[in-house]
Amino acid sequence: MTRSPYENREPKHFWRSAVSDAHLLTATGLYAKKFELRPRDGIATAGSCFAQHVANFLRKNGFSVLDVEPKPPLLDDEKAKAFGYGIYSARYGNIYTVRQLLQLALDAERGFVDERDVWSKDGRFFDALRPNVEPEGADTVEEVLDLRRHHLAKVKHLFETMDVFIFTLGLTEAWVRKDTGRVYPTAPGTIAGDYDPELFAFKNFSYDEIVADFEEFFELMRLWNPRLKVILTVSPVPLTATATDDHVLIATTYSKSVLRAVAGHLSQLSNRIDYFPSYELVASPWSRGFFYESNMRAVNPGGVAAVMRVFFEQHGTHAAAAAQTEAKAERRERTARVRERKRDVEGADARDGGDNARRRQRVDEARERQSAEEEAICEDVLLEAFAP
Amino acid sequence: MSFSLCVVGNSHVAAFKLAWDQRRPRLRDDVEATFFSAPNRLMKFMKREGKSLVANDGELAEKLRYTSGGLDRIDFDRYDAFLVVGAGFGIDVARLIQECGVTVPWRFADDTHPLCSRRLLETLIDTYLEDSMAIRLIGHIQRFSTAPILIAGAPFISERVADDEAQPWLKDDAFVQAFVACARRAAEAVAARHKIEIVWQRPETIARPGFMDVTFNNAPVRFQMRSKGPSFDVKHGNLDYGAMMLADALTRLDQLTNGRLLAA
Repeated sequence: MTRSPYENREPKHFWRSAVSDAHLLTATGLYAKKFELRPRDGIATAGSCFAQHVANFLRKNGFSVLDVEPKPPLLDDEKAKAFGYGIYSARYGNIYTVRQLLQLALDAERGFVDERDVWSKDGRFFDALRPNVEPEGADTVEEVLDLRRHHLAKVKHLFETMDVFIFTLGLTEAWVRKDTGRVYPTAPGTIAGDYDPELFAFKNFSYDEIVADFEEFFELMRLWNPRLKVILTVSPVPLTATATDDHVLIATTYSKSVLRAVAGHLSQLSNRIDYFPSYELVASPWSRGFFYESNMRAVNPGGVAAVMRVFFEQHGTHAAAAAQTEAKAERRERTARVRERKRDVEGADARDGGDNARRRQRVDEARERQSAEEEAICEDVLLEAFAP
Repeated sequence: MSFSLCVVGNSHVAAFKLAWDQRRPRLRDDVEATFFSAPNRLMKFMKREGKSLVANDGELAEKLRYTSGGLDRIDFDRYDAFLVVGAGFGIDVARLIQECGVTVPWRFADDTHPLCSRRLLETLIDTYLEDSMAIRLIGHIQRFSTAPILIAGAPFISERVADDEAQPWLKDDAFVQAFVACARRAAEAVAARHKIEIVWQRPETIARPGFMDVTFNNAPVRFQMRSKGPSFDVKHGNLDYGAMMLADALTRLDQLTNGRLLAA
């Protein structure tokens, strides 16, 4: 009798039974949590823009998502988001690379600020390490530095007190200042600053570098907080643009492959590091691309809901239904917005005898591109402006 | 052709009324003014009826009749200009810090006073002022009247408040000066958005940035229907203050109406 090591494997181990013949929205066994996520655990979130969805869903499902820089009460939600409030557990904006995360932790540890990390545009000054949190910038370099010192104190408090850290790995590509080695979330010249090739260099982090950076980060966190647990995910959002010479699809595949491999490796190293497969749920052939918006880049609400269903299936059974409800509400809201916009356009066209139509069409096209991203704040989308 | 001015707001109207009665500048003979004053908590009961705002509450109606000489409604058609006083509009540094937070330097920031950039602070103060009763009143007026509108915010709080040990930031002139500059830019932005002008208090009434010279808080003027007012309070101006503000407001309205107010 012939024997095979695949004998007696569970159905989830076979593509046909686990994927081809299964429906993604009802599939089970995709993720088995390594540790409990208790409602009272203080959860901190960070990462690339996809991580914003995770934080939103966790909050809405009763988990204790920490926020050490809460929005001022007078600020409405829309303005709060524009100022970087309520997106993550502190106002650090998107953290696309692990080097950026490590740098933030080290800065927080030492209270380190550097005026070379202040970029300017039109007489206003921006924190290059989180350029989106002050949409109009600050009055002076000193104001940026003072705001950053305060922010770092808050981040240190966050890192010292969080029980669980959920981090979404977003990119391997980044821009680095040559003389200081500082890494930035956006390329100089995108939101502020100016690209000077003598001063800035492109960096595509390797597997080894990312693993080393995360290990250093985790070591530091464990010093502050020995019981810390981490959940890693990989953003399924492709690159808006690449600074490599490769086609952006090739560059995306490289970047995501490296990050996925890093996350897998790190989760195997420690029982305090878990990997959650949001990347596979959205980007694999199983989803047939249905979870992407029409630009094939931004993840639609259905995709986010599908991801979070699997998450809550493990970490909170009653919350999964709430996640679906939330996604439905978001879809309804979006449909209402589209209808309202359509009514506006029709009204304006009727009044202007069609003169508005062409201009409106251009605006709508721009809005459509934007709508795919509007659920999350993603600086890298701005790179589209540089496309030919 | 006569000129009719409507002055409406909360308790700060009183200083303007006393100044009108006792120290108004020389005006044309046909210029008249009507004063409407009630606390903000009652002003919310003003209800629009056609081209009028009508008191929809007994206590409010009583206050309006008392201050206006018998009227409990503001008929927009009757007036050639409006002066809105106080009614939640103004730069009360201590209050705004409580509501909005502090700006750099960040040593004053804590859990209840978050640190804001100056631009964010402007946004917050803009929101705070935009939501004031004064701006709501102006919205009502502008719906039915094209008459010019000025707004005179509540005066700065008294310099005595700066001695409050629980609010150490108030003693820091540089901090308060920057804070007031933010607040002033926000107020100007709100005014511009509503196409109105602000009558700012004169420098000689200001002891230090953000604070009224204590001299102008002595014998503060308030409408007291049933009791005698205090000899001092930290929020209200006196007759001297009212006279300056009224003179400035009337001068500006005279300019805006091609000389219909001031005597030649």
